[in-house]
Amino acid sequence: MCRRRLALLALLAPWGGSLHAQEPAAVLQRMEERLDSMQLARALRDSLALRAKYSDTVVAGGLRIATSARLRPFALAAGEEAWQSLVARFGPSVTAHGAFPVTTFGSTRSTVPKLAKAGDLARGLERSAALWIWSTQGAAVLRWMGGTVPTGTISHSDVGDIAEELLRTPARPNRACYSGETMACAAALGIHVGADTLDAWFEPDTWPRLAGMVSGELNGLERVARERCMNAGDLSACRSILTPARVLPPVGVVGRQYLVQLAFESGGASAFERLAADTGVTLEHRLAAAAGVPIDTLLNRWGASLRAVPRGPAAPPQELLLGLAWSGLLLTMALRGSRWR
Amino acid sequence: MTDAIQIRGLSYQVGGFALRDVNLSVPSGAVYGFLGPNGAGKTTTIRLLLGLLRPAGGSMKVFGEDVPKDIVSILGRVGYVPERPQLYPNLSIDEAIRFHAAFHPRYDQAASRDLAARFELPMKRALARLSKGEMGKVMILLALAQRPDLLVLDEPTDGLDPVVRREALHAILDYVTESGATVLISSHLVHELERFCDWIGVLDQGTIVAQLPMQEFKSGLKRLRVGAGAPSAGAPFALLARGAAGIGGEVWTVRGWQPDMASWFGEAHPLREVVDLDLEEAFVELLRSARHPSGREA
Amino acid sequence: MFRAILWSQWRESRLAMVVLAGMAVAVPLLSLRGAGAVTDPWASWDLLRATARWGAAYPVLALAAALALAAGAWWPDHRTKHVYALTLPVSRVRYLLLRYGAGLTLLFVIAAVLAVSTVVATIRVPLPTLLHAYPGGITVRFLLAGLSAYTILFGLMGLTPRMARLVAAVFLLVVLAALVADLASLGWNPLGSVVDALLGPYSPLAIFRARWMLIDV
Repeated sequence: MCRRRLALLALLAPWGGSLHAQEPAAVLQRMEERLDSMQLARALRDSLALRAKYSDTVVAGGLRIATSARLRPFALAAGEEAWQSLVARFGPSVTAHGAFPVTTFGSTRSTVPKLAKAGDLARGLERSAALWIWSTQGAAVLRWMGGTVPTGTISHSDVGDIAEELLRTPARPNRACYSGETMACAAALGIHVGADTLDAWFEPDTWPRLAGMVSGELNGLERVARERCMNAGDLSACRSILTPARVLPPVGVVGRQYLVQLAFESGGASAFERLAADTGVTLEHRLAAAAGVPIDTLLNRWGASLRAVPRGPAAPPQELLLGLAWSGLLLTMALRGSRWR
Repeated sequence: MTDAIQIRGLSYQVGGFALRDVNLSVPSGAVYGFLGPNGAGKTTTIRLLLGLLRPAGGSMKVFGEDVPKDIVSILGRVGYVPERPQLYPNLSIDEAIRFHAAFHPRYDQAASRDLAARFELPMKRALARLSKGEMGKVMILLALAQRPDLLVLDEPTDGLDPVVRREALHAILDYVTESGATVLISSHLVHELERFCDWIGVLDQGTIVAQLPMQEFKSGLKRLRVGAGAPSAGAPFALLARGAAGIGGEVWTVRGWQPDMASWFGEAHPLREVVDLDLEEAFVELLRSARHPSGREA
Repeated sequence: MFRAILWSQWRESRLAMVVLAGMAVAVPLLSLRGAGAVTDPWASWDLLRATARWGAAYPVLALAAALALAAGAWWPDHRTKHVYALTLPVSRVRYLLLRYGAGLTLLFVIAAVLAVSTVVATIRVPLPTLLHAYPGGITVRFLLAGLSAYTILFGLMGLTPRMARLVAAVFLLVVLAALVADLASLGWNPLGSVVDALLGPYSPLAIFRARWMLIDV
């Protein structure tokens, strides 16, 4: 705002004489109002231009895609694929979630990229629709997942990374969780943790380094506090820096998304409906409802699958065989080279 | 006498150069001088013979075995000294000998040591740091010590000083005398071959223009001084070139000359003198006649 | 014969071998250099972060070894225009196998150095509970990666000039096609497809994208 005012003052400068009699504050206000109305007009013009681009709307299940006539078959194929996937993921009642926002794709002059796959568009449509479903039906869980929706299935390698994160982060509950203590896992995942996450998760002797890892902008006082925390080990200064939003979670977003994935796998087709239905209760109850099993069972499965992932760079037999097979094949090709130079 | 090398109708083409219908026979035990000007195709013919290049047509046999089908067996009996030394430059002479010996079961370590001593080679020095003469000696040492039945020498003494050249040629001659091996030696230094070749083949512009025993080649080529205006029709020899020589005289270069042919010249155009040509002169005249067959009456 | 070829290849690539062996010693030792006492709550964090950071050095080392050894196998022959090699009384296939085997033997030497070095490095460092050292695993993976890359490079470097020109032309064509496809917004990336074919799952170089952690869970 300050910059805008300065810019306006610079604009006004040449007419300073004629405006001399007017109150500067009133002039500024009028100019700002004028600027706002110009911006509004531009937005309206853009919006109208955008609408003019899309001449057709495709409906695939509950998805609506505004597109051009040329792109209609492509958008329809992608929409249907996305819809099938959404139904499989969120259950047949996904249609009951009301109208999905209209998605736009391409414009009148657009042509289908010759080698583009409908699958790529389908995944994009699915992602935006899933985000919308979560934000309307499971906002609390979505927030807990860091506002992101898992795309596809979390891989074996990602599960391994979660295990590594669990053992790497020096949070109180992590090692106990990895060793099989369910309550520790609940704490590490932030499901069952008190309001003071810093105390619940981290020993005070880890705070100075945690403070050093705080990213984002700090004001002057916070910067001083961080210095005191890191250099003098002042725990109250550490606490002032390490607000709940800034504390490194013992298990990150992927670990939480993996728990939801396990809950959905366990709960079957209606898992999301049950999760969405229990709006008033705690996170652990909603996850347990989705999974159709007690939360302890779900957390046990989560911990067990982490421990089951083979870690380390030990080459599994199939990797060994694959490497040898490729080398054999390539060597055979190399040996077939001509002697003629 | 069987042929150690037999080439029939060999053809090869690369870029603007072509070998056309090359026929060559090297008798077993012969020292065959493969002559030709620079760029005639001698090295290409040798490379084809050793299976380094793929021929476009024709057949090649070495000791009765097919090239390139039986090339591995053939190479086991062939010692090759290429035009330019092609050994691994990072190895020392000692290491190069060990490497070479590992691939040649008949490699004679004692002969190798003798030759190394005779050539006064610095055995520990890397090949990359050898002089041209030393490198040439190493190549000849390796080729001889593997006790080959056929020695293929492609310009083996090219660029060497006279002392080194003499040493190298002596070593080759000693080996041939002792073993009875066949030698195919390519060179454009004609006088060098004159002393020890017993067969000669001349290649020019990708074609064999002559192939005969050295003695026949040397004795049949003569320069004749005859009276001006003598007719050449019906001559019992081949007239290669003809030109004026002073007042009332001509010089004829002929091939296939025999002493009793002197009577063919009548009294009107008498034969005044018969001059022997050395191999180099004969070679030049041969090439001239091959390149300008219509100019023989010039 | 094998000893002769091995010796010639050693002479050709000994400088690279010494450097690579030095790196094989240095990488594991350096990667665990900052490991602190196990009582430090951040010990696992520091150890795993350092291991992950240095993990990239192993595939790079494998690739460098493959490159140096493939070049060492072919360079002497390329420099002599293959005349000497082709006049040796040995079949082409046998000669290629000897050259390939000699390079492979030298790769095993580097892998052995790496194995010793990783064992020494991990013995020296006290590990926090639940973390494990994988010196054998990383050596096997190094060997596999080196083997795959060495075989590919050995094949490529041994191509005849004509085939090499053909491969280069095909590669240039792919780059050109990728450029055109990008400019024309075709939504198709042939270069990416080639990279996927080489580095994607089940591809010859997939192992290079694997996990290279000397210390892991």
